[in-house]
Amino acid sequence: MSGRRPHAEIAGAGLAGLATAAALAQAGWSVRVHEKGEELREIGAGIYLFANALRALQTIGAYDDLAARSEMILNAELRDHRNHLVFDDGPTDGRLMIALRRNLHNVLAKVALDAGVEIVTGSRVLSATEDGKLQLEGGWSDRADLVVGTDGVYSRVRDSLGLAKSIIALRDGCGRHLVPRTPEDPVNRTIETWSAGRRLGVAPASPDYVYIFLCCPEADTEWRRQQPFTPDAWLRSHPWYRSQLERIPRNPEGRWLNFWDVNCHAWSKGSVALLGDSAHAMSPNLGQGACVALANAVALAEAVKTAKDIPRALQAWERRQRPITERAQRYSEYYGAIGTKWPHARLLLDARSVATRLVFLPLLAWRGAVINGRPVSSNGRSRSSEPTDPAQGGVR
Amino acid sequence: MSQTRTAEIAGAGLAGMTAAAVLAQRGWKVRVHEKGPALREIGAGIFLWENALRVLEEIGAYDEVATKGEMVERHQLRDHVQRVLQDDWLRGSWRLRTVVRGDLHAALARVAVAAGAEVVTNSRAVEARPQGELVLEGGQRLRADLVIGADGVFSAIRESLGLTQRMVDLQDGCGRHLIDRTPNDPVRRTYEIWNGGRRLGIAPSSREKVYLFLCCPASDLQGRAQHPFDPVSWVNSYPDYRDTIERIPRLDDGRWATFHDVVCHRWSKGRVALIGDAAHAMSPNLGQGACMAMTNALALAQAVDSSPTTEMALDRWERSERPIVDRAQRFSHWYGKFGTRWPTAKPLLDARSAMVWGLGKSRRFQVFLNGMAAHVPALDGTAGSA
Repeated sequence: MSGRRPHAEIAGAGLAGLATAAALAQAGWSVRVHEKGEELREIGAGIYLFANALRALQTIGAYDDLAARSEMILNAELRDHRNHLVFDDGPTDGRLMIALRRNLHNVLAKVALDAGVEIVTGSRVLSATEDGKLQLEGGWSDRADLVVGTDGVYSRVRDSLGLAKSIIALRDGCGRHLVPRTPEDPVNRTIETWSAGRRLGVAPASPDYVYIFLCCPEADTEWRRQQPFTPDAWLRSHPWYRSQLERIPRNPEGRWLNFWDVNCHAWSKGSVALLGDSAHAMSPNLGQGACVALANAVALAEAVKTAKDIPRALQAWERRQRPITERAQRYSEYYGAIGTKWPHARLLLDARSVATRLVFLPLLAWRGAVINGRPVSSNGRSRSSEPTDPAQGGVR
Repeated sequence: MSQTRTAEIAGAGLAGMTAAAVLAQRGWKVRVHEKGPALREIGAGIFLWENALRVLEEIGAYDEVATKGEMVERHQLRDHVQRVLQDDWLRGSWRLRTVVRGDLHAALARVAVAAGAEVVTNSRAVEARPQGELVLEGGQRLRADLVIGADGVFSAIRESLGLTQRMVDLQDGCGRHLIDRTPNDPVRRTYEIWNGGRRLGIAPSSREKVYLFLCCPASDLQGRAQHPFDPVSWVNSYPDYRDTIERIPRLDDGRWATFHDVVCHRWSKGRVALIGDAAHAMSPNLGQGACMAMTNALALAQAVDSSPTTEMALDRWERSERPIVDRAQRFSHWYGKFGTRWPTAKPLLDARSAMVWGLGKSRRFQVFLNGMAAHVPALDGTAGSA
């Protein structure tokens, strides 16, 4: 590919796809993104962005725009079934920002377009070949130097290449809502309250909206029902959040979605890479799914930037990024298990509050290690300052 | 020499009150002169590091201060994009508390009075004589074994003895405010956030109040306008903390005050000693000005209690304590330059972030810093150095 500008085809214009497109285009690639929908849009409500995601956003120049419309968090509280504070150790890993998913999506799209990315809507990807061709509904694309499958949990790119090892429904999920913000809502602060197996989160996500998430086990039918939404069940388990619960409309946009864990044999085959949920979907319990995807996107562009041999560069990228991604996935699952599957007897719930304090320290340290991109020392504690030289702003 | 030794203290601020308490507790007959009509402490909140907390323990004021103030578990320095540059800057494994200045001052006054110190209000000291004489405004001369000038940056005692070597307006200052605390405010955590030449500090300091400091260079006229306070320009610099900044009352006690460095030829002359801002005012960037004033008051009492003459004691005291104070003053000065005078072009701000972050990785530097905040005097061999 000497002398010629390298070309990438990307399947899926979600957060991962757009971030990858922007990072590649900024590295001098020509990039085309295929979005199956008729227009670019992001579903979902709010999103937690930890230091790893914020570093990635800085690298591609999307930070300032987003920060101006988002909420910086100083206290992240975890409360128990009595609404007692279990933890307020907030963003122990440095920065935490809450954004509206659609704001993040818009900013990424703008950065990608500014960098010269071509986005084709109404273009559904059916499969990919390892030598770099995409099968679209209307026929095959030309061979690209790199194909990236950012087409989500049900990835066609992944499945056409036989890369899926396991796709597990975690029998746990949540409804996510945006409600208008009022003075009753927390400021620069998030609250997550565990009551039995149900978790309610309140997170200011922009000057105008508060992001509410309502997590519960799949079996918990009364709490699961979000369409139409009635606050009664949640008011019984979380009476302290009447104001927020009553602001959720009866027919909200947000539906109850199950969580999935996706595991792959490999994140790439030939010139095709998988990134984001298609490669490593995880429960959102640590708020790390999209964060890890953004960090991996920037790392991918860095890895292939000057590579002569794309398949080898992709393998090297996977070796570097995968351990930390899988750690996030594993611990998010444990967190979900403690939060959701714990027995509901009052006495045991009190014990959970105590146990959570003990269990959380290592859990948060693990999350810190994910965010900071390096191993935890043997005593289970990780230093909480940022790992990379802030002036570089990059992910190593 | 009579059985009971006597001390006259000019100034009933934090330094003067601490000195009064430690001396009275050691059996001295102490009188404190306050020029105002009542005892009061201006200013908003204050950081108390390990050194000051040891002094409070020594004089028995710790419990009261601890009940009213906040134990800080995490003290973070952040930059313009909220990157954490320093975690537990200056603290290391030592304690850090914040408290409302008025609460600290009241606790010190209570302890001093309980130990028998006499406080005289409306009593302005204008001069001191090396042989151990304090001269009041009305011309009254009070003789004592020890005279202490704790009368602040513009100390009349210091000037009357010709001890001033230099007094520098640092062209940098801050407004300090107390705002009502809400559940949204940080708990057991304090933040200092740098943006360009401005620095915003957020420190919960009692159950009801949060202490905010807003630092900027003297040339930043919009930033300086704090009375009445108009939040617009500060919200522009710190949009993430709009809610916090907008809670600052339009008219409160907080005014923008400039920082001064005071350096003396000597801290004493004959039987007269200078303590606190009178001797070594420094910018509050390290939060060490009052802490060191309190530490020095304790050191002074230890020295006079274990030396044959006041003059010898004051020599020993300065030799022992001054190096660490000078170091803090120099470093605080440098820190202020770094935080306030750095060019505000974005790549340069990133470079500053990298430098500050890098410094934190230097173990030697941290030991140097933390050592300063944990220094406890032991001039009479009673207390071990922390």
